[in-house]
Amino acid sequence: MHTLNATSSDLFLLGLRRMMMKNGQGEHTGVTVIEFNNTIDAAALRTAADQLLDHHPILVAPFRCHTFTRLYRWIITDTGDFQLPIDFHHEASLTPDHKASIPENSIEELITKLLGTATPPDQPGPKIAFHLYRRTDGGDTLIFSWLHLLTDGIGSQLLCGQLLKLYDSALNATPLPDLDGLHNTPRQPLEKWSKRFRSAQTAFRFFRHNTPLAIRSLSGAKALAGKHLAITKTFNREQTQQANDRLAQCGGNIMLLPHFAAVAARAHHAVHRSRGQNPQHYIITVPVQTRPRTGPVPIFGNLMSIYFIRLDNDDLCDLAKAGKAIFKQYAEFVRSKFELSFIDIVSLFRRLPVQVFFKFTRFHFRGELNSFFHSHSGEFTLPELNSIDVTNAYHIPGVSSPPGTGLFFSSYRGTLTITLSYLHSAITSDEAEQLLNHAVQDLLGSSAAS
Amino acid sequence: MKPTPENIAKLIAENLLLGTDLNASSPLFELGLDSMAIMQFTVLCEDHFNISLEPGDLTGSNFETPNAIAALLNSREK
Repeated sequence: MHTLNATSSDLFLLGLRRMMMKNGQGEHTGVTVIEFNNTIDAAALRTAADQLLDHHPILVAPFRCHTFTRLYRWIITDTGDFQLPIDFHHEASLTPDHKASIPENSIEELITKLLGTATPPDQPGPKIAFHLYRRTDGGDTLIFSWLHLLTDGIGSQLLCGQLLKLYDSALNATPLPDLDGLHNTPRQPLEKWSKRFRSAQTAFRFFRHNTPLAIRSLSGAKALAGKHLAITKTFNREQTQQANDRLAQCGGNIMLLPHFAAVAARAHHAVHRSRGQNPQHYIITVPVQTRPRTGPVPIFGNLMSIYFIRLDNDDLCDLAKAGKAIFKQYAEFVRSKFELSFIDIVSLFRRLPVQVFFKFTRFHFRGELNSFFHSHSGEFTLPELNSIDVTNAYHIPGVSSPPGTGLFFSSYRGTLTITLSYLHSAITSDEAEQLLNHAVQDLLGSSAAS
Repeated sequence: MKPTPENIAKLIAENLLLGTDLNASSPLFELGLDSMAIMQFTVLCEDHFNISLEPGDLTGSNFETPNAIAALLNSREK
């Protein structure tokens, strides 16, 4: 047996999970969607999944709090009789290849069923599952659902890459690939408490002086029970280029965070305004990866920190102005190494019950966590393999209430995908369409976006 | 310090792309430079070269190699 300690980010998500479970929102999960031009061989996929589990027994491990040290960690032993589940689905109009295949009205409905559902983290059993969906155009979509405590978007992407390498090897009867040792990298030991306390002062000062207390999410401060829903839109190459041109006009073509966070804020503001609400301030929590850029990169655990971006009502009138306001804050966060400071704050609380520091955040924002969730996870990279032809790949993170909504972006080989993830109790389907359409129009530079 | 390609390569290797061996024409994006690293570079740029970069300066072509970055910084210096 060996263990893998929780990261500071894991502890924050544990608090989020606790709030979600307590309020009828299900488990905190994510879904990764990979679209293939071709069909996937079920037997090879089964072999690949089994090999992935052999390589990563953490995938069925429980996540528990040590009785005496009060530290959370994954307890990794042998995999026993567990297998990673693979379920088969098909669009209802098709005749399925696989006899156990489940007919679905749409892939969106399937994803809705998967979000919020997972093996509880403190129980042994699979923390990920695969769903193979046969589309009417004859291709397959692999939907990979994962417990967010296990990993984050980048980790999920790395795991998908490994699965595809194993699939390719199983399909072509080639030797097992070298999975680059990307697994269970031991956690770096924490710095001394005194050093972390000093480092945490940057973030403490920030919260004391820089964040407004009155923010408003679309679900409001009261946690609401609800079904998880998501809508996505993938731009074609022409639209992606148009969005890139717009990004360059607003200031540089590689600084994604300021521009896309501004798009997300303006889209949310449009929905608030249509409700007759006019929030004066927004706090956008943006995840910042803390994985090293070079060398061995861990898969498991949430390896990120958070920037708390503030936008005021006046900033939202113009996309370029909003982007500049965010850019300035981004530079300050980077200069002050805020991401490290925030991780150190959470680490100071790590032996306390998770609800303690979660209550601190919600108290600070009068019941809210933030105005909405948001991220741009960059280019979704997958290995190049002859036996598979991936046409698109993106994540759909589950969200909590509050705030009830999250607008996420990623790209795959020159196409941008936008995902709106929400709870049905937070916004109506019309509001969801309005929010997504506003973001699309803003990205394309259409005058339809106000 | 003057923003030469060699100084810039050294700054990036020591602070952003740790452990990589960079020269003036190294393809930085292929070696792992991302938008966060570029933002970190703007801070380093102020501290080491006393040059402030604007959002519009942060383009793919300007950060392709240390040579390209040096050309950008020298144009800002004048």
